[in-house]
Amino acid sequence: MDQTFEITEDDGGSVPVVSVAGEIDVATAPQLRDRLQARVASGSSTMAVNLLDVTFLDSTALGVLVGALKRCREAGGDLRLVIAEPRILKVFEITGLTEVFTICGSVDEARR
Amino acid sequence: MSGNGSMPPAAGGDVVELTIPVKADLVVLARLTAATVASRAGFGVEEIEDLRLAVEELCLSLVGADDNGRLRFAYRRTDDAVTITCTFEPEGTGNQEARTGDELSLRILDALVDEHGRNGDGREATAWLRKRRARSTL
Amino acid sequence: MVDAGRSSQKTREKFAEFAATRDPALRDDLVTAHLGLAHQLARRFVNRGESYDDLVQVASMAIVKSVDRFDPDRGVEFSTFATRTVLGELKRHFRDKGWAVRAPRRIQELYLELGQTVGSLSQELGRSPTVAELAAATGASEESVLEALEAGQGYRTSSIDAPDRQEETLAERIGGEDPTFGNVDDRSILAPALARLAPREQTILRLRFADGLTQSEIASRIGVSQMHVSRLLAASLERLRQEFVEDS
Repeated sequence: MDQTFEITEDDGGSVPVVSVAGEIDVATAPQLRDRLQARVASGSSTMAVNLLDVTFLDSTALGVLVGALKRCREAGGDLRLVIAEPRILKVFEITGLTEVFTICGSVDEARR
Repeated sequence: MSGNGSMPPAAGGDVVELTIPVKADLVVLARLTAATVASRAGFGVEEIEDLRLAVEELCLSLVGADDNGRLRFAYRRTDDAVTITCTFEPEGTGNQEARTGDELSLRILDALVDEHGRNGDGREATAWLRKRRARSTL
Repeated sequence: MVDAGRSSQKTREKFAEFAATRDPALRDDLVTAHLGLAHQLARRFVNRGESYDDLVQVASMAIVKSVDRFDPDRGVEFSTFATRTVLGELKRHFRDKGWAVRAPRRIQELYLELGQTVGSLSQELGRSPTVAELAAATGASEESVLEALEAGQGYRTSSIDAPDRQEETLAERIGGEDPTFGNVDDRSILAPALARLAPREQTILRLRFADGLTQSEIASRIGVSQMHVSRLLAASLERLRQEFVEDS
């Protein structure tokens, strides 16, 4: 189990940002899912998920992000991803998810 | 490992037979029969869906778009498994080449059932499959 | 299928390495190498109305899942494991979408209800429910449950009523990206044969089989009638088929 996994939330800007650090995999993805679900349930339908400090993403992570995207869209909002590392972006490209998600290169861009 | 060769014989149990013309709107009968026999053999719905898909694959591996004739099915229900055979009886000229199941078909059948294979190479080949029931349902 | 054994060994080694190192770049390589299977299976289940892109996406994500979960020591071929996983995800996708095509209303409603009931019963029982259990849970007859499950099988395989089975088979060879999966010999014959076609014919084949466009979409893309596209396609496929027959 990766000890550097951490989720922080920032409601300061125009769009809430959920930042994740470490590896998102079978063990840690459920925590992310719960946090994102809680946000949608409490009323924010648009948010950004900052993956700049993520070192590894597996298929459960993808599933969690896709599920959260659907819920945001159903609630009339959107889920934006912040990704800069080509290795992390690659899996989104391979699975065609770059057509589905709004992907930003920086947190500032995601807040606009 | 499966894919080629004769079906290990099954004895006993109950056999249901069905013959249909090779027509897209009637293939559903082959699937429904498979589903009903499997359901009466205690299979769960996931396994039933697998069998539905597998029956469709059997048909596809035997018949092409320009083939005419009939498909003869036999569904055997034994204590722990369902065995399905499908024989193509061609009519008219159609495509004279014998069909061989393509590799994707074989992969799909590998994924869906426990054993499968083919008897014979001619146009009147028989394709067969066997799926065992997961033990916990009864 | 001379290369099948060798490439299978290489794949096994890569998986062993991935299991040890969890290197994301290696994971991406393994996924990319098997995307052809995702495309082939997605194409197999294109239903009228269900987007090919959606299916490819579900199938591709399932390949990622397969690579993540595959245990090379288990004695199963990766492609079998991956096929099982992709089929499972595709089935779930169709079930979640509540496809119940051309069925009486009560069957459609039952199908939607079944979608949820199957999920909750599976969790409760730890296995997939029997038809009898579903009938009891929904209050419907077993026949209705079977009928609903059949109607909900919105996917169709490249079936007996496909416009041209030959078209589908060639589609798999042209559109598939994975040389280790498909028939290696056919691909090496195919590439030069394709190159011998006129540029417009190559474009049409690519649009049709690699990009999955319909004939009308291609027609509007290149500015001709759909009938013209249909004729060009048939002619190109026939030319390719001739080359195969000659070479085999």
